[in-house]
Amino acid sequence: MDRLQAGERLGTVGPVGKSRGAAESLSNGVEVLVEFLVKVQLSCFAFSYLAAFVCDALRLVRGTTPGIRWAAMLFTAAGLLAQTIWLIVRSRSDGLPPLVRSGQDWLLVLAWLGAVMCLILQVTHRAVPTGAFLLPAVILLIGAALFAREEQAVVLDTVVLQRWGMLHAGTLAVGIVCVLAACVAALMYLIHYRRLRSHASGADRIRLPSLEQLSAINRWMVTTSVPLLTVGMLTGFVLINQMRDTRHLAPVSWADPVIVTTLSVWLLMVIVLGRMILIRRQSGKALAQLTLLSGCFLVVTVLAPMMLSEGGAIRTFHGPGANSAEPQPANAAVRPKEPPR
Amino acid sequence: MNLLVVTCSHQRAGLDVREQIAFSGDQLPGAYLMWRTEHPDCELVVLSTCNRVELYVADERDTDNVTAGDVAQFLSRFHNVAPDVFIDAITSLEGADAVAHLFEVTCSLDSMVLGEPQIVTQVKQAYAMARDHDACGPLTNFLFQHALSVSARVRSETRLAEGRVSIASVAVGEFGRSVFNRFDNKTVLIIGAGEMAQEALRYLKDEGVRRIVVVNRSRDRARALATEFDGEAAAFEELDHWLGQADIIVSATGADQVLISRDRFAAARRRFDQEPVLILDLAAPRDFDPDIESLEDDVFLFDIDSLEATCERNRRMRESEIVRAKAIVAEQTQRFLQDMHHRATGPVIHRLREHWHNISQAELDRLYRKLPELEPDHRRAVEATIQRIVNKLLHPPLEALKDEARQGTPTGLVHAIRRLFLSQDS
Repeated sequence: MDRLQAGERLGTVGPVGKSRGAAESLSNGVEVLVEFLVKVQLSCFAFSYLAAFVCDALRLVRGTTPGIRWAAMLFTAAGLLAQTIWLIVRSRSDGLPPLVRSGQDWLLVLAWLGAVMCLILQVTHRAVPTGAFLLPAVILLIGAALFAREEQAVVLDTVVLQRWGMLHAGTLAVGIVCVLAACVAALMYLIHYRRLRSHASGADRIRLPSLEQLSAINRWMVTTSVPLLTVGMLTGFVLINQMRDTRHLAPVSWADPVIVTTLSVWLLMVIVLGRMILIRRQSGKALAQLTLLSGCFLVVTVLAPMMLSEGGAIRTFHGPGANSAEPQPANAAVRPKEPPR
Repeated sequence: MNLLVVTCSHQRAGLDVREQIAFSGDQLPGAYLMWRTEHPDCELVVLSTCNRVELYVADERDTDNVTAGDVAQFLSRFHNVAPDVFIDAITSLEGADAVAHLFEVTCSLDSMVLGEPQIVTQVKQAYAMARDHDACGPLTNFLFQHALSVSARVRSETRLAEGRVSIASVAVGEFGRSVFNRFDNKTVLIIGAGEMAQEALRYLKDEGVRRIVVVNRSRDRARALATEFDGEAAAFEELDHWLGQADIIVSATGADQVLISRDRFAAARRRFDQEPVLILDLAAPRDFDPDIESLEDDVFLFDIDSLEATCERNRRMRESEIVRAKAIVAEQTQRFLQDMHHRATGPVIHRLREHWHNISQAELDRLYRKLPELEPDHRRAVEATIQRIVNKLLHPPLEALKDEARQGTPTGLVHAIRRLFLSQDS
């Protein structure tokens, strides 16, 4: 039932159906095939990740058996493969990388990065049910992508704008994945900490990395995320300026929800990093709690504007039609202009 | 084909008996040489550990097999010990029982500490030693390779070997590794110099600890323990200094009251940067005030009760796996015996096929000499017919032999087939 609903939703608002300009350039047969692949694969990878999550969650409850561990790994790998194909198909259909194609694609790239990280950890740390911690975030991002905008949110119609756009979207995506990874490590830390404080090692049920290792991962991820988020945010401002110059757009308000939330997340991560560097006597538990708080804040602030702007509940620079000076044909929106000779 | 094991283990014999018939690494070459001289047709593997002395004997002959008495005589002569000293402490098992016993031993179902992993290495070493001294043969090779694969299966399909079951190993292996990822950059403070401290240090050393400081009221005992583990001994008066510096504290003194109070510990730690500290209080009564844990987030204190609870839980978990492990052993024993019997029938089947095909070929040659005008096509047709007749005649005895091998030792049928069909070359 869920599978059908996911498919139906994509069927009604799928990229091939909506981007008619791009679809015209394809033959009918290819169009049908792409539409079919797009429909099937989103449900495929969403359910694969869900199955992998169930397997790893079962390991938390019932302990590990080789069969269930392998099942979790295989489901994650299958989902990742399907998602990779899906993103490639979407990207090739209109010649734009997924990072700058639309809000939906950007969220799916985030989910893809999370799934890659999960699979690597499942292979390298087999005793740890990584999927039980990481895959909910991946599934949440895929779920949010269903509500996010499928069309190109910000029209990047020159090569220069596209490069700035790639840098902006890429650094923000990796930065946010780092924050999510830090949150997962923090969550594991707090579970393990609680177990040890109640004088149970928990090794009979499920093995988690040591507190020292989890704390180190947390610190590294926070440290990495801050410069990435900073670059992402600064390139966003550069992008706005460039677009305003070339297209004579109205100045973007500092109260724009996307700008406010991104700045808030960045500020929070700077505070976390600052505390980490300046306060030497900060315990691993306190750092984990603060990171987890930042992560929850990030999920709410990044996902909410994307979903709300699509429904028209809030108006933002990233929202539908907010950044176009004049209506443009769809193919002009997705194809970068040739640079002047 | 016969398998025999003579065993003297911790279950029936005390150490005083076992040590008289145990084989050290230096003695084994001589023992294998003596065995090969006395029983050149018999295979032998000696498994000698601190908990058991076992001799696995395999003999492919059907008569004049080595008996448990012969093995006891061998032990007596080699160790120069009267058989009366150990005869009541040994047991012998044959055939399927011997196979099942080896499988149980290798899976650590017969060990003093259920599920302990060292026995697999010991069995591997014993088997390698026997091979190096030409005491192994087809039967023992097959048996021991099978035993090692059964052990691997039991370990992967059950939780028999999971969890540690001694206080010191749980303290270091479970709780220590839960807090710290690496130990080579940690400072370990040992308070006390008794057996428990020594055992904990052994596990810590295995984890890679480099900096060890031993503090004890008796400086000499502290120095002796520190020297054994490449550490340093410190005066008892320096305890507070080291309490502040250590990442891991193991305390196992015989003090009759709390040695480190909450205030004393807080004062000692205040002088240094806050880093996680793991305290393993292995003393009874406790050396550390339990309230110490509430001082800081990164203080982890485990006393003997919490460690013992984990040991007990691990023991129960292992015990709950015995039934599953024994079921695997029983299944694998049956499979091994079937495979072994099947192997035993192999040469007979091969010889029977060869014999009958030789006869048919000889008859065909005679026919071709009488009828040289036969066309190649006709010859091929005749050969195919003869081949089919031979195969159809061979089918019932071979199937009967295979069936018998599945049921158990097909000795009677093998003899009957030899007498009926292979009498001239057996």
